[in-house]
This record gives sequence, C-alpha cells and structure tokens, in this order.
Amino acid sequence: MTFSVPPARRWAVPFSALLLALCGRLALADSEVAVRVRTVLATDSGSDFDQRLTGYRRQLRGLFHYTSYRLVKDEERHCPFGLPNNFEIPGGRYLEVLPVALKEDRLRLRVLLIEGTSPPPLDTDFTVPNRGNIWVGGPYNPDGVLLISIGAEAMQ
Amino acid sequence: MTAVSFERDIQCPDFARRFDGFLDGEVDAHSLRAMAAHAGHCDRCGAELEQAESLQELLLRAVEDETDRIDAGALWRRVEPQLEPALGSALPRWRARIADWRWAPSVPALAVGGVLAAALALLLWPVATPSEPTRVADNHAQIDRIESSAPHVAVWSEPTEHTTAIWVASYEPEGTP
Repeated sequence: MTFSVPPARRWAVPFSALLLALCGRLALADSEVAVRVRTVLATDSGSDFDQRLTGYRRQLRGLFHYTSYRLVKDEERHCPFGLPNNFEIPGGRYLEVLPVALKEDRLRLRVLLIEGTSPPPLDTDFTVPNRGNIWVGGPYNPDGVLLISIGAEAMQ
Repeated sequence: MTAVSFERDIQCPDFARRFDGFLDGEVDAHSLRAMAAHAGHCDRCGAELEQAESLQELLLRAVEDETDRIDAGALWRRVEPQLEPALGSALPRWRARIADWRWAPSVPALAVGGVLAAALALLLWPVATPSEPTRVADNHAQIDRIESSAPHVAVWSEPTEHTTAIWVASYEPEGTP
C-alpha cells in the first residue's frame, strides 16, 4: 500500500525552513553592529599616504597634522548589542568595544582602551551616527603615534 | 713477457672470502677485475671458479627446462574465468547497484536539501560591510562620559564632516587645537 503526498505539501517543509531562516537572519541582523577598527600609524617622517586610507584623507588631514599616514591594522567584527568585543591594537594594547544601543539612527558605544595592567588611558561612552566613526589618537608607538578609527554600522 | 696489471693483486684467502659475491656480481667493479685477474693466474682459484660457473649454468638450464614445460596458455584459460569483468562493463554494473539502493528515489529531495543548506549558509554567513569609508554628512560624535589615566586628554572635531577625535597621551599632540 503506498501513499502519495500532494506536490504542494511536499514543498511546504523546505519553503517553511527557508522562510524561518530568513526571519531568523533578519532578527539576528537587528541585534548586531558591524564594528570596524582601523589603526593608523602617523609620523612626521616622509609624506607617504596609504592608498587604503584615501577615503579618510579629509578626516585625517583635518584632525591631525602629521605628514605620513599608514594603515597598520584593519579589523571588522559583528558584535551583538550588550557584549564587549576586544580588538587588538599594535603595541600590546587592545580596545574593548561594547555596542549599547541604537536610537534615532545613532549608535551608543562604550569604549575602553587598555594598556597592560595600568589604569585604562581611555574609558568613554559616546554616540556616533549610524555608519559613522570616531578617532582615538595618542597611543605611543616607537615609529610614531597610533590613530584608531572606530566605525560602527547597525546590521539592517 | 710479464702481464702488466693495474689492479691491486689479491691473495687466495681474500678471493675465497669474496667468492660468492663475485659469482652473484655483487662486488664492485674494481674488485671484480682484481678477482678475475687472480683466477686467471691462480690454478686452484681458477679451477674453483670454473667449477662453480659450470654448476651455476647447470642450475640455470634446469630451471629453464622446467619453466618451458609449464603450459602458460592452459593456466591462463583456467584463471581468466575467475577474474572480474573488464573495466568497460563496470558502468552497467554500477547502474544496477544504484537502482537497487533504497534511497535512490529520494535524490531530488537530497538536492533540494543541499540547495536549502547552501541558502542557509549564505543567509547566516556574516555579511561584510562595504569597505568604503564613512559617508555621513554630520559625523559628529556626542561624548557622554570620558575618563582617562593619561595626563593629557583632548576632544575636537574637524570642520567639514565634524568627525570627532579623542586624544589621550602623555604629551600634547602637534597641531592640537
């Protein structure tokens, strides 16, 4: 004795699974922030400008007065809201970024710059526009100064 | 006239010790020539070598006679039917085996499952944001709290996009407003 499943029902399960995955993905996307940390080495020796930083030329030239800028590290991570994420910074430092909330297209972040066991040189709360960025400068490097761009974009 | 040899002369005990290797051709070319030269002028060793070579030839001939008696054709005719069919006929056999498998009719379902798995992987895979720089008309950051162990802390913005910079260092940066 054989049973035949109607064609419409046969495809119901795979399509339901696909729909469920899509909904899951969309729900997950709302709870994540793409955090991108770029570390730039700025010096006054030479006049090289890293081509990978072309889009940031105006920001760098407007904010800092160094003659040479070179991208030394570029890291992007998808960070859920409420969970701190550590980004390694050259020189044994790291940046702890905690996405706090998204409100009126602005992202609230808590950022901690940590150097060894000494008290953190920076512990701050701020908001940036969605897809915007902020620069943290000053960490010393034997070859110059490190400038760190922290960019954030809500995953939608 | 004395034969002049450039090979190092060897003595009878040395010849006897390396005799088996000489017969099997396992000694080096230099020793081979020296032993052959010794057998040529030493009657006792030469006779021993001649005897051994005769025996070797007899053995070889006996083996050849035995192998000639073997009917390889008849042997092959007995072995051939027991061998697997030729490679060319493998395809029909595999088709028959696949047809016997119970899951064969579910191949379309497996294909759909594979496509779904690929779609899920694409959906759930972290999507990289474009590497293009920030394009925000007003990139001004609102600092709500700032604490620092550094002796110098400064906050300022650039005039075009109002991008904000926080400066934390043990010294004043050059060009800081």
